[in-house]
Amino acid sequence: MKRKRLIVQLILILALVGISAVLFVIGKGHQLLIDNKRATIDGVRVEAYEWVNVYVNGAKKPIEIEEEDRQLAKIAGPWHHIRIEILEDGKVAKTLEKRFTVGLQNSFLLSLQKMVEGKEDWLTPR
Amino acid sequence: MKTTGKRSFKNLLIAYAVPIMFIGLSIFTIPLSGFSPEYLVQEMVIRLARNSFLVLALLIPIIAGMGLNFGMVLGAMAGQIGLIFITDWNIVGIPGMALAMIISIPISIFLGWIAGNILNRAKGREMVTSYILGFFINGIYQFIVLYMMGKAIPIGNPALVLSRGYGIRNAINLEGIRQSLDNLISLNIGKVQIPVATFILISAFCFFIIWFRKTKLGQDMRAVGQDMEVAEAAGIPVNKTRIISMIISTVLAGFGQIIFLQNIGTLNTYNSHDQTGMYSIAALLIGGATVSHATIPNIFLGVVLFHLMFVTSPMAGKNLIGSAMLGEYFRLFISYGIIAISLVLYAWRRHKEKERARMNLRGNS
Repeated sequence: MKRKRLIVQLILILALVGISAVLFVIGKGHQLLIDNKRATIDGVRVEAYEWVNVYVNGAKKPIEIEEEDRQLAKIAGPWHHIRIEILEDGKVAKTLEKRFTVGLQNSFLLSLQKMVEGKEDWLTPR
Repeated sequence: MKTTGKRSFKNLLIAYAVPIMFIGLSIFTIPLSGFSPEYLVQEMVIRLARNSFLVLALLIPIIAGMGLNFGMVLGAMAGQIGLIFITDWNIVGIPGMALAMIISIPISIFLGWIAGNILNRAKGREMVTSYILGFFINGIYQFIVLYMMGKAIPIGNPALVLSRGYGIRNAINLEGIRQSLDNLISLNIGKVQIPVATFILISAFCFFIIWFRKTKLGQDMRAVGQDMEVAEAAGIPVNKTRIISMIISTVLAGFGQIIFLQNIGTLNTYNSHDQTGMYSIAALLIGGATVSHATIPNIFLGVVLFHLMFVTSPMAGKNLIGSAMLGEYFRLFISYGIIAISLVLYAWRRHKEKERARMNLRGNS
């Protein structure tokens, strides 16, 4: 009887530890620094975009990033979705959507230029 | 017949003296404050959501005959330690809140166990003992938070640590979990916003208490609360039951403090828990509860009446005398005074009951 109780208690403790680990991962907050700055990719210079609207995780209100600017987005958990609209003369010239996963680091740097050019290192821990 | 009716009315008046007094006071302070009904309803809804869980945590020790658990600040401290850790790790939203609750559980269990053991050595003087125990554990809490965190206990977030390199700052911004539960499901009725998710959690807790009372352990607690010697003779492990009731109350107080602070959005590291016990107990007593008897309706009535006084009295004081400070003093005076009045009324009522029982024994009506 005592042994059975001990086993139940152990299972409960392990379950709590497991739930805590899951909560830690899905609740971890991150800072996402979104860069709209000129970059050199494979020796080619890519200019900053005139104006970019960034929608993180389906947000209704975009993060507006001007040329040579950097903005901060706060995200939580490992799985995210980003949609960008590159504006030229006030009109949407290009739209791009991506899903991405982040680790447990606190801060990440997202380069819009590298993202548009399809480079793998468009999102790097900081 | 007429005499019996008169007596039952008198008994009713005595039993509900405190809520009646507060309703009377509110009738004066509400119009004096000049607040609109909408504003007051919104405030009451917010405060019900914020405080009810904490007050509910007081029920189980009352069932077990341990009186008003002034030691609930122990649980509040455990909850705050959970919040410090999740803020350091930057765990946000509902997962952050849940993780803070999980972190608080072992600390609350340990503190509740200590409290239960101490109170078993101070039977009959539980309330004053738990009150002093709160001060003692507060000292240990301050030692841990002020000297060990950042040194022996790693804290990585520089925004949390004092400039000297260890110890936690006075105020912690809980923006990561601020109103995350309140805004999870939010309903607007007119201009009044209702935090539905928080009320669902509070309702679940109410159902838990109703269910718990019917369980073997709940029945044991009631038996212990009614008469310890009889319960012991019936084979109920009195001391163990009392310890369990303290542990449950402390764990729930920890959860309550986390719900309270997610609504406020700021943690005063060294003060937030200070008044938790006092205000929760005052609210419960204002709702018509006594040291030995409390129900769920007592809690909601008490929270509404107490906070109605809290909200209206500074403004009423300002409008009446021209000084809001008077209202501030008034509400402090009320919260401490009401505990004193309730305890006096309880003692007086018990004395009367004993007298009545003695008279009945003599066959004198």
